[in-house]
Amino acid sequence: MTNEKRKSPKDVLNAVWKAFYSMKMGIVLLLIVCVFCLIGSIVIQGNSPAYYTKVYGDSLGNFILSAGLDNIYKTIPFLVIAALLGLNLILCSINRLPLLLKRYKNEFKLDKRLVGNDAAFTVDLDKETVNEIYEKLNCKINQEEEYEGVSYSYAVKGKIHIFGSWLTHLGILLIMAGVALGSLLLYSDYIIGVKGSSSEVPGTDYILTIEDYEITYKEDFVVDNYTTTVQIGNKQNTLKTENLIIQVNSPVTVHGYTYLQNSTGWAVEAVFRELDTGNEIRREIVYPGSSITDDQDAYTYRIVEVYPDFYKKDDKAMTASPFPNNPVVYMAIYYYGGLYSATMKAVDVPIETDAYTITFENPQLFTVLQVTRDPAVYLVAAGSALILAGLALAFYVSVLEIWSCDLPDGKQRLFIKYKQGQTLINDKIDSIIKESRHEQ
Amino acid sequence: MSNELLLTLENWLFTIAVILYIFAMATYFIFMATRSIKVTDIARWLIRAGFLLHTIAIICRGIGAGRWPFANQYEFATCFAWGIALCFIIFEKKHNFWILGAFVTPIIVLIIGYAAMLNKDVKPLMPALQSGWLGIHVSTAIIAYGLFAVSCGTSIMYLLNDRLALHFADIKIPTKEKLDILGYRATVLGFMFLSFVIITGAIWAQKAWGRYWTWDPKETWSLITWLIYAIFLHLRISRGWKEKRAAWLLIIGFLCVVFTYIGVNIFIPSLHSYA
Repeated sequence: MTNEKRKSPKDVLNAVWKAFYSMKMGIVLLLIVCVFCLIGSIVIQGNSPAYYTKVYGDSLGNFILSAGLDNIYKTIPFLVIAALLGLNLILCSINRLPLLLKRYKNEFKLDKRLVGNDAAFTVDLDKETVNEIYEKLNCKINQEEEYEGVSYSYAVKGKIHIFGSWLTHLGILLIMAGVALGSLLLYSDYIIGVKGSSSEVPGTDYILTIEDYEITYKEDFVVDNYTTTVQIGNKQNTLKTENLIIQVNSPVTVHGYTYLQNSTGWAVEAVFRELDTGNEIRREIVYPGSSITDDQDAYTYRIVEVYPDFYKKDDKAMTASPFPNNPVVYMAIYYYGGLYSATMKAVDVPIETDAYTITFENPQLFTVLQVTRDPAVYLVAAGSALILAGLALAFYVSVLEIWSCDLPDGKQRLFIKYKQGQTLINDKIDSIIKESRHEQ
Repeated sequence: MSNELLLTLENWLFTIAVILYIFAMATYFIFMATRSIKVTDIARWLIRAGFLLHTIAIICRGIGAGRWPFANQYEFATCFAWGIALCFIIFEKKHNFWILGAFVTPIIVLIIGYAAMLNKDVKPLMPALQSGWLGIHVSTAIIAYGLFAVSCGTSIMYLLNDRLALHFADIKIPTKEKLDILGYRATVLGFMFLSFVIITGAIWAQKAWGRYWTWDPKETWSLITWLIYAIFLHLRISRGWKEKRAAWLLIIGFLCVVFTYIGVNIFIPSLHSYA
């Protein structure tokens, strides 16, 4: 037989509830997040299934795919851990706030210090020096009281320190909320175009016109920057911006949508002409990775790459410069869906079929712009600011309490309580006392 | 002075700085063996001289390249070593812990030795790096990493303290408590800087890549490092983790720092492949 009382279901529930907002639970969850991050950094994320079997071999590749390690941050176990961490932070913050407010209101008072008698530093000095110490430590007397017939003064500064870690946790919560909301509300798409082209911003009411696009170079063809000049309007023509310049590291934001310079390359115009008359049938811009099919649905031309200044080295296609000195189009030709041939074709040289000729002409630079909109980014920014402010309060603001009382010999007794860096504050007070004696 | 001349000068100064750091490390080791205070004076002068030349070398490279000298692996490695030397010199001066040099200088020598093996060619900044955030983001990373190196040095000292105190009974050896506090302070400041590094990196990524967080391996490893130090701070403040366990955690934290910088670049493809 044991005297130990059996825990009631209520006690068990309480224990579980407490465990949810305990620091122990928080630390365990952080460690699990570390493990997920470790795996997520080792296994390259977000590639095609074929990539994993090719790089890791069939068995490991299939394991990665079946366990979802290729997209680990979207797997249910990771999301559950993140949710538990969020819950832990919320409960911990809710639980601590009333205690902190109570402490802020009641802890830093003369009575507490007198009862506790927990000063870390006590010294008897003349009144002027004591006043000087109050002044030089930027402590304004905010309480004066008689206690057992003795008159006391009390000052406190840095009380806000106690909210430091709470604010940091709130900041982390805001970031987590921002990331979660962002994943639901995030808009992200791409616009590809050449100078003079207009495109609809996908899924919106806006039209983007590329007024100009240029790449500037430094020595040895090193890119200085990519510059796209655009105008953004709406379908109703009630809105049209001035020319806006988009560069790498210098996006523009219009009506909540941010336009970023993403990538570039060479496009060509595919021109279909009648075989016998040479009259133009159709003209269309094609980009690497895109295809064009003839009107008979017989041949499809998929552009693999456009080399502006083509040459071959070790049987590999290269470009000698970023300028269109010898433009060549590398394409795959499909005939009724089956691969017919893969070929390099110089620009302006026609390909002849039974019904028409197709020529790839006018090689020109294209620009790819990324369009994003994340309404929750402000939550993340606010969370980041709170983390920094919280850390500064927690580690670099400390509560300093000073109180003093009159002594019968006309001197004053000074008491100081300082939670962090006691040595530093002692040194400071020593130097004030020395300075004061020197002046006298 | 022409840019080429400046870069040649940088090369020479860097080489001399490496030699001085190696000599400083050797002298600190001799100090450990001989317990002679005069020897530590020499070691301290050697490391300061090395640091001075190293500083001038970095300035020369910055002026010679016409940009912040943080654009490639070599430049960041040399600045990383510089940051450790700076933090060490400040902490050593402030706390007079001469023997700390025997534990921090090997880290400096390892990192600068790694830098010496890398390609030193000066290349213009690629468009993604042409941002005011480069200076802020990388310089704070250098200071954060330097502080974590100091905390790692103090932790190693802490773990070896009993043996050291035995050998150095006649020389001022920091007490275990002081070492513990010193490591904690370096970590706290480093943690603040690391938080700032991650936040400035996120702001920059939002402007350059359109997303503040992409789970890029470099980002992920900086988060892992941040989490390790966050766990350390929680355990220390709330559960009183000090002494050996805390020292081991700080050493693990610094290993994460080194992996974030060197390991990720070598073993894992990353958007930060230039850094």
